[in-house]
Amino acid sequence: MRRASDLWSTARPVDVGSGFGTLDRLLQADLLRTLLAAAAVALAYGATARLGAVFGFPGARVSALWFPNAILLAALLLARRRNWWIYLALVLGAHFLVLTPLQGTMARAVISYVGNCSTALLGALALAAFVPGMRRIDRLRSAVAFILLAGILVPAGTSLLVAAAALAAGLGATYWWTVSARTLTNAFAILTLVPLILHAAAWLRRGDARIHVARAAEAALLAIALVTLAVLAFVAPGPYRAFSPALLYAPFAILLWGTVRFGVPGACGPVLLFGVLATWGALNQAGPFAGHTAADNTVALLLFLVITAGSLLLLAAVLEERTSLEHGRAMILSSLRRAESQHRQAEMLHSAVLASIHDQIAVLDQDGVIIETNPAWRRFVEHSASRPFEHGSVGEHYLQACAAAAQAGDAVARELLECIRDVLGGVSVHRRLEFSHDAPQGLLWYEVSIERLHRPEGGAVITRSDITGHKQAITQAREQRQQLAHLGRAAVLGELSGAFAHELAQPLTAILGNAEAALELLPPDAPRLSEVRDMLRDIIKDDVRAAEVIQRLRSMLTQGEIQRHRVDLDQLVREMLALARGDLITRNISVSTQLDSQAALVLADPVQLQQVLLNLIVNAAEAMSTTAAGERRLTIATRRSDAGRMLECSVADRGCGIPPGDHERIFQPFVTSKKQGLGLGLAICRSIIEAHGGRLWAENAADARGAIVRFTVAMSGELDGA
Amino acid sequence: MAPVAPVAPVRPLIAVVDDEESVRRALARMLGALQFEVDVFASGQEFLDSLRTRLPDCAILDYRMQGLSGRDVQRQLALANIHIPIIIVTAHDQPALREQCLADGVLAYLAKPLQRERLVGLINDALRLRSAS
Repeated sequence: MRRASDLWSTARPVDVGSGFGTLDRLLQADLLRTLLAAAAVALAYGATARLGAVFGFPGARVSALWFPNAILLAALLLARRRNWWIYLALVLGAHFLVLTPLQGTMARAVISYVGNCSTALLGALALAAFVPGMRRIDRLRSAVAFILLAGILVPAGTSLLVAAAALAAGLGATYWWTVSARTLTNAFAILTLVPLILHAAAWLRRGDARIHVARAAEAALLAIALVTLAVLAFVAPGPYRAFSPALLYAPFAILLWGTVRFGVPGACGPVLLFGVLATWGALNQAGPFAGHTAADNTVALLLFLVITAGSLLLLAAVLEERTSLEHGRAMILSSLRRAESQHRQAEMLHSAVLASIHDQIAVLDQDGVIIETNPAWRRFVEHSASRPFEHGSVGEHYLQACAAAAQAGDAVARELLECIRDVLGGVSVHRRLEFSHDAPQGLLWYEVSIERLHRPEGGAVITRSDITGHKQAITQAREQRQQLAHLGRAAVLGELSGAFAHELAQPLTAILGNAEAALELLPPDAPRLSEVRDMLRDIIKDDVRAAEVIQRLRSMLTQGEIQRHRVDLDQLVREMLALARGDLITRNISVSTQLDSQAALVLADPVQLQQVLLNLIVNAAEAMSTTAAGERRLTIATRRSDAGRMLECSVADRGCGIPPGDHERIFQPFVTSKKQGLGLGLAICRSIIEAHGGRLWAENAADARGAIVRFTVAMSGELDGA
Repeated sequence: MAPVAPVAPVRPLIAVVDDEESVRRALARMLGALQFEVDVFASGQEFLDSLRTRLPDCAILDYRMQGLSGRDVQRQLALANIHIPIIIVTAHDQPALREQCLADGVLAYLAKPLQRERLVGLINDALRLRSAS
């Protein structure tokens, strides 16, 4: 939406890049707006000129209320200088249209046009020179410049020339009276009307041109009071004529009211209104200015009005300047307060964050002095700290404390000192170390991390974290790993012995059988063969002795070692999958389970069953090493079988399956397809399962994609509540 | 260590089923020296096939073999209602296996290496059972 103020300005941004058509349109729109504004000014010029003719001084060719020059000056002040000629041209038309019939001669009209235009033009030029960019009269400097230049000097100067020209043209007789009357009437109009127009334009330009009801009511009340008093004092004093000189001051209270409450417009508007009424009164020989001729009285009144208007304008400008300064100070104060509040909130957040960190934190400045600690650090210092480097509160020289402790032989303090020096000295941005702390509840472990404090002057942040739990977990994991490795070794050794026993039993059987047969076949009474007979008997005796050793080994392995418990096979499968998880992920193998044993339990040695499961899982994973990554799937299923007496577990892979005829061979010891490995895994698994009264066998998948190894174990019961 | 002679007047027929040749041969020699007639078979299936032509008086079956296990053979005999005394022998002795075999109705379960007295005693028991039935 266009604002009224735009009419005064042709300073429109022009989008050159959008084509000549648009440019032309804009130029035309701009020109049109300027022409419209100039026409409005010309209209106002003409109208006020016509009004001025009504307020003419009796017997003189000067108007007592002459607003056209003020209107033109205000218009020039608001318009761009390159458009001034348009205003002057249109005003020229209005001037001659309105004034030639009134003033009679062409010479008078020309002189008055030149006088009017030069008053406005010189005033505008003078103000532009002394107060560049003046949009409002709201500073003492602009008010003084405006009053002196545009209000007094320019009208006085042009009046001297106009009066002289009139005299020369034989159009005037009273030179000095004409000069003073014209100066005063122009000064009054300029001092009241120009600020009003400038402020109105600024108000409209501001964008939030709202009128508050209370303000409007106050302004209306002010106007009514002013009009009443002005009429009573200046226009129709009636019975109060006797108090006439005193009545002169009656409107002053109202004028001050307006100035204090409404600023520059509140000073100029009422003075203008008051001036119009008072002039009307003076011209009609009423009011306090009635001592001489009407013309003299009016000149005296105008002088009075100019002084009043100038004073009030100065007062209003000073007041506006002060208000503006106070407003600025209030803004600064408010932003200061806001900044303070933000700072306080940031401080509170900072403290809250530090308080909610469980790790102990101390902040060092660039010299190694503690400048901040968090509550966890302070609690530790207060309740637990024993060694010097564990202490430290704000203001203490932590670096020196560490140096002293290091000097005294504390190895941790020496390491810490070196780390802090590195970080403070910019050698590294981060260092860490660990130390243990002897506490009543046992040995506690802490990790100390020293980070560079990221600010220009440097510093360091020391963070102590309790890593006891972490340490314990590592120790526990290591112990478990050792235990598992030991168990694995023991199991392999045991099963190796079992496998050896089997492998030895076969040849021993053959040796024994052959020796027995040979002994049987020897003739009983051949003396030369008695030696051979003894040899055979020795062979038999040693073979039997070896058999007894094997038997002892077997009974030790089968009875002495196995610890049987009621075991949940499904749970065991899940545990082993969890154990192998990392390996399976690395090998890109997805796992699916169908654990459907319906919570049945088997009686078994859990460690040995784990051994079997783990072995089968690892075998299945290795069998899929040449399978495409997306195809690698391990499926473990459990179900009841053999009329519910046994649990069957199957481990299926997606490898290349078992070669034809190898289904049994793969269970023989030392048969392997792997480069590394003894080929004992499946043999051991089978012997473990058979030791548990079950079977273990292998087959290829029905769709010929991979192998399935199945085993059965006898059930021993069901889980409680299952 | 006196040799134990077979009690029957005709030479009793003993079947030895073992997938390891050296064991098979040694057992055949030993039993042959003790005046038994011996048939040897390298697998359970071979043994089962031979039963169409003649039945042995006693069978010595290795438990673990390629293909059918000794126990599988024993089960098939039971299913076919063929009653031959069976002695299961194994190089991989397990208490659980012993229990299962005995529960299945075999005459005996022996761990390798086989001692002559024990084996011949059991064969004689088998022969006595045969003649009694």
